[in-house]
Amino acid sequence: MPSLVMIPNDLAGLNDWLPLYFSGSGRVPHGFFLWIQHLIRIDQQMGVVQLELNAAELQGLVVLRAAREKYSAEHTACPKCGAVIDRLTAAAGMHCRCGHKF
Amino acid sequence: MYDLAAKEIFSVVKFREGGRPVSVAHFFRPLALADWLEYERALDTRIVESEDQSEMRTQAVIAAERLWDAAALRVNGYGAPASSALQGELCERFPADWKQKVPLQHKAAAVRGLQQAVVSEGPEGLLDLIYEFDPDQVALVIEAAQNGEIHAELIHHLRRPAPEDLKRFSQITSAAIWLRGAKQPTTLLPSRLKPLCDLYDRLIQSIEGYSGIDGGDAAAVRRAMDPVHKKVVIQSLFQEE
Repeated sequence: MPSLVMIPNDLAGLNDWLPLYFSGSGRVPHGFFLWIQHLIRIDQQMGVVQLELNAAELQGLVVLRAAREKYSAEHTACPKCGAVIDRLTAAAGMHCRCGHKF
Repeated sequence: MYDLAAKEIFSVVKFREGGRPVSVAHFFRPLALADWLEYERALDTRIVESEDQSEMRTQAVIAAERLWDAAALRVNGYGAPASSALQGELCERFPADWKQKVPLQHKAAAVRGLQQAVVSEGPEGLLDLIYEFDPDQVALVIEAAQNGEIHAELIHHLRRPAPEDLKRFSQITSAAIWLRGAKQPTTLLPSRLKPLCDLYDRLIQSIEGYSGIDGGDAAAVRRAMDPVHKKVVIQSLFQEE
């Protein structure tokens, strides 16, 4: 049976969809897309101004930052075309879509 | 002037029937925030996704019919066929059940007419004008229809939003509910009307182009302003930021 979940309270769901959001390789459900964009906006704003966050935003930001770090650690940019490639592919000496050999 | 204290409002519905252009009017009592909240609840807006597309689904006709049934006072222009034994307007011919006889499409069109409010794009060549910047205040011009007339110079003077207000808007527009376990990924979008109206109330300072307000201060504007106008103003304010 389907159940209703307030997206800001679904940290596991957020954690599941963030890699897809960062990689841009698939469709993130609309509600999570909106929530991730909100978190990114307040993350950017917090670098400039002080904002009061509610509990869901605070927890969401922690998950966002952790997922972003994990994604950065697992991926690198192709030095020729800038495409994001996972580090395992790069380490295995495979080719980027642009033809560059890692 | 757009009358915020109008005792009744009407919406003109134009259509063609049997090849002839027809114009009728639907009269309503003034609509309050509670009416629009009920309307938006009934809309049941949701985004249903498949692999290659997302589709917004609403119950627009059902929502319109509920609002119409709750607020319509009478209709004008629905005359009797010449062959009919009963003569007069629809409400006179069928005093008990005239509401049920108004076609659903007409009701939906009349309700759409009640929501006609958009941000004014300003005159052509606006880019040539000097940007009149007030660090404390921002003015937004909307145009809206009321009783068959377009009011083009409805000006809202708002406090220039602070970062907290921007964050609040982002919070409001990101609120969504996930239908976990649905066959297709489904997001329910709850009504944003109430929080957007609250944000308007927080920022509004004064207005121009409206009549029917008891006193000209911000508190009076908060009480009297049409919720649809509040929503349009706030959406425009932050989407331009």
